[in-house]
Amino acid sequence: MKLWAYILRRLILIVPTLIGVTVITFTISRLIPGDPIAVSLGPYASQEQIQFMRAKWGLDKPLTIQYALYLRNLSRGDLGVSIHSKRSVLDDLKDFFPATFELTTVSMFISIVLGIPIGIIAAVKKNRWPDFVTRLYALAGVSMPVFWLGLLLLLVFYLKLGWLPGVGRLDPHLSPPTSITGLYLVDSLITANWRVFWDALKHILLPAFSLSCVIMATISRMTRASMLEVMTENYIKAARAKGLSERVVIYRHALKNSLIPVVTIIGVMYGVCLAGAVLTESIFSWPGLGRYAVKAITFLDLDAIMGFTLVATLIYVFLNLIVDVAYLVIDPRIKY
Amino acid sequence: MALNEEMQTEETERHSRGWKFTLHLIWNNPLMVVGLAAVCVLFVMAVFAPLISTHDPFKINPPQRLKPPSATYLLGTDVAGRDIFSRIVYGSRITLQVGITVIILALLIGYVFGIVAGFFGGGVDELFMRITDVFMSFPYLVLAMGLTVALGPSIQNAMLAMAVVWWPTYARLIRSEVLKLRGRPFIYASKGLGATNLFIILRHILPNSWVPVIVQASLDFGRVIMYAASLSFIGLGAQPPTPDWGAMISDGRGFLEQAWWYPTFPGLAIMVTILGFNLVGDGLRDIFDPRLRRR
Repeated sequence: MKLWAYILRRLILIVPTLIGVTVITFTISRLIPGDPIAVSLGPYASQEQIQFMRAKWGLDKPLTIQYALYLRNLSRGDLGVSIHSKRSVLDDLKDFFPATFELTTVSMFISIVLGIPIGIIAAVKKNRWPDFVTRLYALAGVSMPVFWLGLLLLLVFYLKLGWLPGVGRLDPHLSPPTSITGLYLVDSLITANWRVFWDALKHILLPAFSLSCVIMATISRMTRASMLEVMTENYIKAARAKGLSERVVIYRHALKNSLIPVVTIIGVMYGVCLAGAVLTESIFSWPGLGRYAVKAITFLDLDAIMGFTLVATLIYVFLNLIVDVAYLVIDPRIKY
Repeated sequence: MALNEEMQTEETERHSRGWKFTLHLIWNNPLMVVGLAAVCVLFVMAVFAPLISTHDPFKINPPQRLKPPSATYLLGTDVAGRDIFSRIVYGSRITLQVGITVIILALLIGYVFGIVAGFFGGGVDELFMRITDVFMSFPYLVLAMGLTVALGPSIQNAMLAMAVVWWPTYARLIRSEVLKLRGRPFIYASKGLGATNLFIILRHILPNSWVPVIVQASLDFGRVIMYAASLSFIGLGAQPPTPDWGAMISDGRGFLEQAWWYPTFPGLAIMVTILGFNLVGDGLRDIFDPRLRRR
């Protein structure tokens, strides 16, 4: 019951943050030099179109009224129209969201499933070669631009070795699975379409790995540091003293308690992942939000970019909320 | 008077020992030495670019396009026949310029806001915390992207956008340092002697708060370079024909199959640079860590 009260309180506290976020996005969309409407409609807009948009956004009215209109349009889900696709930005974002969600989730999965064990091994073998190897990897991992790593993976595994496909979500000869969730891996599993599942899996591997490199490095270092700290606690000594095997001490006693800081970093990392998707998706022609945003940039499609900014930020804000709630679940000692 | 002099000599002695000790700590941290070496190479490249480069980084030479690395073209040539090695050498200037400008701009804004919020507290502080909250609820790269598009894609606007995204981190750090100092007896003493707020800020707060800020800034240097390269890669940073590393990767990605060296080497330059700054930052953090000092 207390948990629900906490979640409710946090949801209410999100409101001022969201207002602040919209103030910033509103300011940015008014920053463009020249006539924002003329810019957002592109060079071929007719005079009537410009007049219509002017009235809709109230550009002849004072800034506060303009902001109120901006909020009203947002609350109706009106994020403007993309110059490039000529469709409502919200519809575009809805269409491209599942691909990004699938990609970021798979890369977070890879990072967590590999990153935490790597961190544990580094902590257990502290100052021996596994620790040095992971340290080296972590240092290189956080220093590599994600788009460059993507290109290298593409070069080696697609162009040179030909082991994995390099572009898109699916082989063009295969038709996408019946859309239930929009996630190809899930949909093909539900419909038991194994060929599509296998192909989709092969397609997601390279982009997911290039995205997860930095995140895995960060998670493994965090796990290591946190494990080492926990291993000095008295209850670990007690567990060893009562004759428990080292395995049980590490996995049952130390790991559980060292996961709390790791969970924080996982929340933050999902945001990093989302930003990284902007770069990775355009390299692997992954039809998600990131590639949409980069295309919008090439056309200076302001409505589309601001729509993406807003949606990405919303996801980020809610992720942080989920992380805070996850603390309560993992560590019953924490009280809010 | 004698006592005062004695204290002064003791003070200088402690300082010189401190510096020697610092050098000793640096020398005993091989990773930091490697990082410092990488950073030095970068600065040397930037300063002596005309001497180090083997070709004119802007000279277009179509017959020599997409040539693989050789004795004449150390790292090959790009699509316009320009020498990639020379472009990387000149690119170091842009990388350093971006890193330094963004960090300094962000520090300036951060100092003003952080000191005002921390020193005066109350409603100002509350308002300030909410503002930084809002800025920090954006994913960094995404906000920088949106801002740069609105301002118009150019390297100057990309730097401005990054500073706008970055300052809240410093403002918060500086605010917390000011809060720690504000309650210390020597500040009260200074106030009691009639010092003005400005004097206290300039004379006491600033000199006593810079260490964590420098450590943070050196750790951020690599990240700023990474974000700048990312913005350039999606076409929002340096515009052609500027020899910018991120833009070079972006130009080269279309030629991955014919000319692997084209995007690979600029990326390697970015990686080594960021690695260098990260190692220096990590090292500085260890050196200024009082737990390590007391050892």
